[in-house]
Amino acid sequence: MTVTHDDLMAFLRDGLHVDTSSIDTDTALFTSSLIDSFAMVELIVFLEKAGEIRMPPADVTLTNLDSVGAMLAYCATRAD
Amino acid sequence: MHLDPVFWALIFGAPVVFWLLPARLRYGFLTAASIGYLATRDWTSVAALLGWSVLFFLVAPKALASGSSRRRVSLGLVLAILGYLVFFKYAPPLWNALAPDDSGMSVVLPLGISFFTFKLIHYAFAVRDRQVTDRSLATFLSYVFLFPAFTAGPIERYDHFLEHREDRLTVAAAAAGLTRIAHGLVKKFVLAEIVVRQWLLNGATAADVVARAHELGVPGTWGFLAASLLYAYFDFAGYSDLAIGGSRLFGLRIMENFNHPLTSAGIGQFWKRWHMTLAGWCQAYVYMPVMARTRNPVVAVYATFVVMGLWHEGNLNYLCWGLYHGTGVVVALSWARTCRRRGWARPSGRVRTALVIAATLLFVTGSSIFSTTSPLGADAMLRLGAAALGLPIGGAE
Repeated sequence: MTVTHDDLMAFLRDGLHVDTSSIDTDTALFTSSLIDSFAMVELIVFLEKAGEIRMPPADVTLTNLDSVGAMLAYCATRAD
Repeated sequence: MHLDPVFWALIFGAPVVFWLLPARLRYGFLTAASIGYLATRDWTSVAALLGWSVLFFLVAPKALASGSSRRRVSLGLVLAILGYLVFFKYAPPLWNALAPDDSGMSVVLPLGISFFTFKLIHYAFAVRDRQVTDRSLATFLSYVFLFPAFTAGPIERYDHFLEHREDRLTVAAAAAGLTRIAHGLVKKFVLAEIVVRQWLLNGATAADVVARAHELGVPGTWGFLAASLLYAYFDFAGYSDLAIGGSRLFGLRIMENFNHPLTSAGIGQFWKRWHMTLAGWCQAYVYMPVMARTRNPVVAVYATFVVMGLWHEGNLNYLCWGLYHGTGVVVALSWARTCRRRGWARPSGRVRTALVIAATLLFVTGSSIFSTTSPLGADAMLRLGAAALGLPIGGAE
């Protein structure tokens, strides 16, 4: 199962209470402080549950998590 | 180093030669100039670092090979350089704390060891993660030994270094570099040394204040702590400006280290603005790996700040400094999470922002209790902490 753009934006908006109006695919989420370090864990749990995947520790990097586009691309590769 | 006339001759003279040379020779020249100058300060450290650098340059790419040894290569390099750091920086104070008085261990700390260790660890992981593909030894060595940033940072990332090189010197770039150097000189030698150290502190050191803590009282102690924070900021930000400006004269836009941290609205924001390259390094190589394995952000935050503390000095004072800042960040993030989960609107507006800035500044000022007493030991830290809290100070009267 693949996480969709709409699923992810809905979680950011409703689950993490982030104002998603200014977030596009490449917006940095963590390095720009839109999402804090604690919310990162909640986001990982969401991706694993919604995508039916398991993120190994080596994959928990800003490269895979710092933007909506990066997260969707990562989930897509894991779902293949 | 920054009072050495040779350093300044090199800062202003070497860029002239650098830009007159053909592009293919520039980084070799910068490496030679950096190594040559640093060797005049401490040739044994430079020789050791040259060995480490060549080792990392040759071995780190082997982590790209397929097979079971892939992860072991970068891990082995990192453990080896950490062992070197531990031997020189952490083993002596630990040994001296545990050993009898007559068997003290004393070693000379290699020049810039904390900075180059973290740069090399970053390099090993960056190569493994395919963030770096450049295979020029001269460029790599110029990154490791870059003399304007060697002893006081910033802790530049190699991918950033490679991506922010300019291939010609413009008037604007030279002016920007010189202006930044001027800013650094004003911060370090006027604001830190004259305004804060001479005028505000009247030359008083932490040892003086600890000895007179019972006379100063709570306001006087906090005045000292605030002035110490200002000194630390102007001193370190000044050195960072000198490094950034000096590097710019070679066409290198290295990473920023400070972004008006004393006006941060929250301790989390403060750590996005103070010693940004150390915080970024620890986020990538401590926070993320610990969080990934434990799925516990509290553990990851504490691990991050303990490493940041011990990076400064291997003593109890900086361990407490790390725990203090870690607790501040955990409390702030926990509060933000509670507000988020319960749907509580967080107040905004100028008054609220001003109050948060003041509270953040007060909290950070409190951390000077640990940092200023670092050379004096844990007893001085406890005495200064007691004075700041208005508690009785044993043995002072």
